[in-house]
This record gives sequence, structure tokens and C-alpha cells, in this order.
Amino acid sequence: MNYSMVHVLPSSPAHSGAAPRLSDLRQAIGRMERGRGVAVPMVLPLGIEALDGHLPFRGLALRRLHEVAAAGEREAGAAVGFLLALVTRVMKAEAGPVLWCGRNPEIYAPALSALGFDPARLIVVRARTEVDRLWAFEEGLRTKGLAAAVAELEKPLDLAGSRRLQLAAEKGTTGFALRLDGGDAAASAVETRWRISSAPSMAPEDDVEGIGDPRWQVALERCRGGRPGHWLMEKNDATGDLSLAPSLRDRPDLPAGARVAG
Amino acid sequence: MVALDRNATLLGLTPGEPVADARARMPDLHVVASDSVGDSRALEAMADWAQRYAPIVALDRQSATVSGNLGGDAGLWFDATGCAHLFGGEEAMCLDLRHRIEKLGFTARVAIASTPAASWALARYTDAPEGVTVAEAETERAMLDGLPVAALRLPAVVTSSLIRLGLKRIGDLAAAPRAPLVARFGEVLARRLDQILGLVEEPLSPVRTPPAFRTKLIFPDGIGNPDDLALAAHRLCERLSGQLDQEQKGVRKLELAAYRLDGEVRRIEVGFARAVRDPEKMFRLIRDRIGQIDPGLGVEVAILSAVVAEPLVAVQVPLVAETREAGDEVAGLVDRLVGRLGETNVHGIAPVDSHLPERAQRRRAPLAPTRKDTARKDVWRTQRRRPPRLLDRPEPVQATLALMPDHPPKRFEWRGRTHRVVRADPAERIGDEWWHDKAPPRDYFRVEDEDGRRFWLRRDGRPEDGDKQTWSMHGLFA
Repeated sequence: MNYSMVHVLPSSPAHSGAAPRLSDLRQAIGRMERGRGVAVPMVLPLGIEALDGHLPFRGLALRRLHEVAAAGEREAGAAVGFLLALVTRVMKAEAGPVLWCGRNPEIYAPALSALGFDPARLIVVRARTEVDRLWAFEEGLRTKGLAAAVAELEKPLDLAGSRRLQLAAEKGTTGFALRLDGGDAAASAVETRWRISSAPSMAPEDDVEGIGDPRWQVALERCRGGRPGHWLMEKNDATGDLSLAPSLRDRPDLPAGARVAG
Repeated sequence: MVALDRNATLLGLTPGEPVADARARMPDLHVVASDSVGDSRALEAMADWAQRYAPIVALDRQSATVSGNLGGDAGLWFDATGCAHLFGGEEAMCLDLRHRIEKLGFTARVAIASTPAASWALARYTDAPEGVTVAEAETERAMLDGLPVAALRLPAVVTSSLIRLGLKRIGDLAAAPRAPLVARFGEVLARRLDQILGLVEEPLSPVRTPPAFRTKLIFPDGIGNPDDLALAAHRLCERLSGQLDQEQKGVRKLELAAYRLDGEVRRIEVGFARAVRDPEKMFRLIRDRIGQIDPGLGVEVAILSAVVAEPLVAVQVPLVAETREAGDEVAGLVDRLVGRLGETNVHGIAPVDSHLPERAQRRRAPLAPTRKDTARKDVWRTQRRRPPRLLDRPEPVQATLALMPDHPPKRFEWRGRTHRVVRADPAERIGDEWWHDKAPPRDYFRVEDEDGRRFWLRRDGRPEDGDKQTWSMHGLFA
């Protein structure tokens, strides 16, 4: 039996006569949704107005469980790229090592340092079975002092499993479940789920055949306390920064299928 | 015949005699094929088992050659210093040892003396009633003087010459003038004599390096219940922690050895990312693994050793208390991961200065302190772009070549799908420099397909050298 309680403070804006602020309402809703009286998560802004404005707390919730999935089995590179962008950002905000669990994480450190991801902070865990991977992931999530924990999973997280991991993360560290096989997701309790696929790059100005900065179709499939969304994003290879792809930068809220005359 | 049991010896047979001759005299002689490898293994197993008595146990591999006893004479040495009190004295320890070896199916004679050489001689050349000889300090010299010179571990020819000269006992030899004997029989004679009399040191080479810290519990009736074992382990952790504390040491690797009633030894080893001394931290890892110890009919001795210990200052004053706590938590996490998944499956990554992409990184211990120079980021910097995911084994691809020799393929098939190359960077050549070893040259192409997927294609063999070209997928770009 779980007891839940919503804690309303007497000094909440609704009682003090001032107009309730949106963030306070979000906090209250967040608590009700959770039903465990857990405070509003610490949030890390992603630095992209279109995304931050879309996310319920104006950024990525820290010490929560997130999921990044490849939109197909051939989109593993894109999914890893997007995940690395998120983790690198978290590493700037949180001290400590990053735990990376997988069957055989084929992480290539010489590429990471170029992203601003210090490979010296990596702890790689090789686990042959999904059970061991999940166990190691959960142990990592529970641990204060890690910057983040990443697990390359091969099966969808179910509701009970994701709840367990989410609870562990709340006590410890930000978690990212990574699905590279393009498989379907089941109903789960993750904070956000992102599905990533590649998009053609823009050729550099001086080289029509050359490769430009990577672009991804980023779909926010699930967002606790928020709405799904979809963006075309670009990563600046030189700085590691994410941004909306230039052609859409001025029109971030186009509904799918919208037609724009220009 | 290489070895004889007691009855055969009593019947007057001697080692070295052909089996046929012996059979002629004793038609119902029971002969077993000798197995020197098996014997040697059994002796090693016994040495392992014998560490329940003393931390330093050494194999005597010379006795067969020096005593002329071909194969039937095997020995173990113990450094019994400070061990006997646990068994109620030296004689009691020897009796216990002999009794247990007998239960394992062997006959043994045991002697304790002040030098390895003296114990060797007394064990073999005294006729003690219980097969146990304990030489007291005052009587040891007299006992040795009475032993035949064969007890000196000299080559058989030397021994027989000495006997012909009338030097039959060690006492005779010790009293005789040294110089002419050494001139005739060599330095070995003087050395053996000095060793047995304790004038020169004879080091034992232990089968296992004795741990600096070790503590033991004895259960006369044996314990088999996992809870009892855990309880014992906890007690041992507390004791070992006390020992470590006195010396300001912490342990990096712990070994728990369970000596079973049937003579088998079971061991588990746990490692720590950082030196620890807290008994609860040690116990937590041991407890996770204790189920791997099969107690058999019961465990009668449990020994906990610090296999690797290093200095650990009693109180580390952290700059920020919270940072230290977080660091401890991470160290604890690494220990648990290693405990369940094994040391090789939990690691960090360090740079290697190699032009071959797959060799540019190596595994290192997790949380290993990084040297200042390796912590600097530019050690990792490469001139060319590298993929965040490098495949452990490059996967073959079917490439449809472009017309120009140094261009990427127009299309390629990988994992059953065709990708059309829309964009590509110029080739990166690797293994070209003459000072590199003979690695065959290869080229890398970063390509982008029609959907924006980016790959790192590898080409082995150069068209301009007339080589056969093979293409493979070596990495995935973001």
C-alpha cells in the first residue's frame, strides 16, 4: 500500500493574494502527478529556446530517467550523437564520472574529447545479459557522485522496471536509457523519451560535395507533464552546441504537415 | 620401481630395482604405474591445503634427486614461526598435521627444527614413534650429529665417498677439518653443513606469496551453513581491519580461503577500487560472493588475507566533506560492479599514441588517478574527425566503386541494406609513413547517405599500388 500526499504550503502564492506563477502551478502539478510529494526536479536548460520552452520545467530534469532511442536500427549513430550532446551538457553541470553500461559499449574516446566529453570521466561496464545491464544501471542511478549513468538496453523498459529505475535516479543520478536497435517502446515511467533519426546535412559553403554539421530529426515522444514535440536540430561540430537547424530556426512551432509559402 | 610402501620396504625391496626382478622374488607384488605429473600436482594441492597451518609453505622439489629416491620422496616445508600456539604447541601441531595428512590417504613424517635443512633431515632420518620429531634448541645439535651424512642432501656420489672415508655421521663431518673436504667434494658440502647447523640462511620459496595481513578462524567440527560462514567472514573482516589499522594500511584485494574437512580449499577474491579498512565495506563485498564457496562436508578453517595492501592514512581530510562522500559512493559502486561482473568488465579508458584508430585507446582501471599530462585534453586530440562509435570488428561492405580511384564508393551495402553516398570527405590515409611498422596501408572515408546517416568506411589496399581493395564499415558518426 502506497500512501500519497499533496503538500500545500500556507505561503503558496494562491493564498498570498498574488497571481499564481506558472512555475508554482507546474510545481504543484508535478507533485500531484507524482503523488509522492517529490519536489520539482533540478532542471538543466538545454540552451535552445524552442526546446526549453517546450519542456515542462524549461529544461531537462536532472536526477531522473530519460530515454533516447534510435528511430531505426540504422540510426544508431544519430541516437548516440544526440545522447552524447545531452550527457556532455549534464557533465558540465554535475561533477563526477559517467557510468556507461552495455553489452559491449563501442565508445570511441578520441571522438568524445572533441565534443567536450572528457573520456577520463568514463567508467565503462560490460555486461552480457540484460539483467546484469539493468542491475548495473540501477546501482549507478542510486549512486550520488556520478554525473550521469547511461545504459545501452536491448529490450523495452516496462512500467515496473522503469518506475524502479526512476525511483533510483531520484535518489542519485541522472539516467539515460539508450535503445539502438530501433525497437518499439512499451508504456514506461521515463521522464522523457526521445526518438532520433538522421537528416541530410547542409554542404559547407566552400565544398558542395563535403559533409556539413550533423542534423537530426528529434522527436520528443513522451514527456512527463508536457507535450510531445518534433524538431529538426543541428549540432555544431566545432563547438558541440545543439541548435535548431537554420532553415527552421524562425518557425519552431510548425505543426507536422504544415505548408509554408515563402 | 620408483617408490615403495612400508610393507614392500620391510620385504627388502629397494627403489631402482627393475620390476621384473622384484616380481621374480614376490610374485604377488602389487605394481602401480608411476605418475610423476600427478604426484607433483598432488603435492602442490597439499601445499595449498597446508597453508591452513602457516602462511609460508614451500615445496621440496630436490629431495627426489638428492636422496636418490627417484620419486617416492616428496616434501613440504613450513615456516612454523609463531603458528604453533594456535594448535597448542609444536608437538600438537605436528601430530595434528600428520593425522590430517593420513586422513587424506598419505603417510607423513614431520619434524620441527631451527633450520629448513635440519627439519628436512630429522623428518627423514629419525625413527620417531609417532612419526613426529620436535628438536628443542638444547638438543637439536646432538640429534643432528647422530644423523647419517645422507641427511645432508648431498649428491649420492658425495655421500658414498664420505662413508668410504669413515665420515658416517654429520657429527663426524662437522668435526673434521673443512678445507680438504671442500677441496675434494666442492663448495656444496660446506654449504649443506652450514645450512643444517644454521650458520647460513636457507630461504624458502613459498608456493604463494604470504600476505602481509592475515587472520584465521578454526571450527573444529566444521561449519557449512552459509549464514555461519558469513558470520565468520564478518568476524575475520573486523580482525583484519584491526591489523590494518595498526599499520595504517588499507586493502585493495582480499582473499577468503575456506579449508574444508575433506582437504579441499575454496577461495574467493574481491578487489576494491580504493584501499579500504572499514570492516563493513570489506564484508559487504565478501558477503555478495560467499555463496560461491561450496562448503562440502564443512569448513574447518577460514583465513582472510589482505593480498594487496597499501598505505591508508587514518583520517583523510577532504576539502569538501560532500565531495569525499560522493567519491566514496562511487568507489563503493565500482567495487560492487567488479564484484558481480568481474574486474575485466569494469574499466576506464586511457589514450594510446597510435596511428591505428583501433589502437588509440586502451582500458585502464576505473577511477585510476590520471596523471596530470594524461588528464589534459589535448592528449586525445586527433587531427581528423573520429566517430563516437568504433566497431570492434570492422564489418565487410559491398562497395560499388566510383570511377575515380581515390573517391569513396557511389553505393555500398551494409547489413543487408544499400546506402547511396551523397556526400563525403576526402580520404584519410593511414599507415603510409615509412617509419610505421608493416601494417598494410588503409584509407578512411567519412560518407553521408541520402538520409543523412554518416559512416566511417575503411578501405584496405590501395588501387594505385595495384592492391586488391576490400571495404569495411569501421565506425558510426553522429
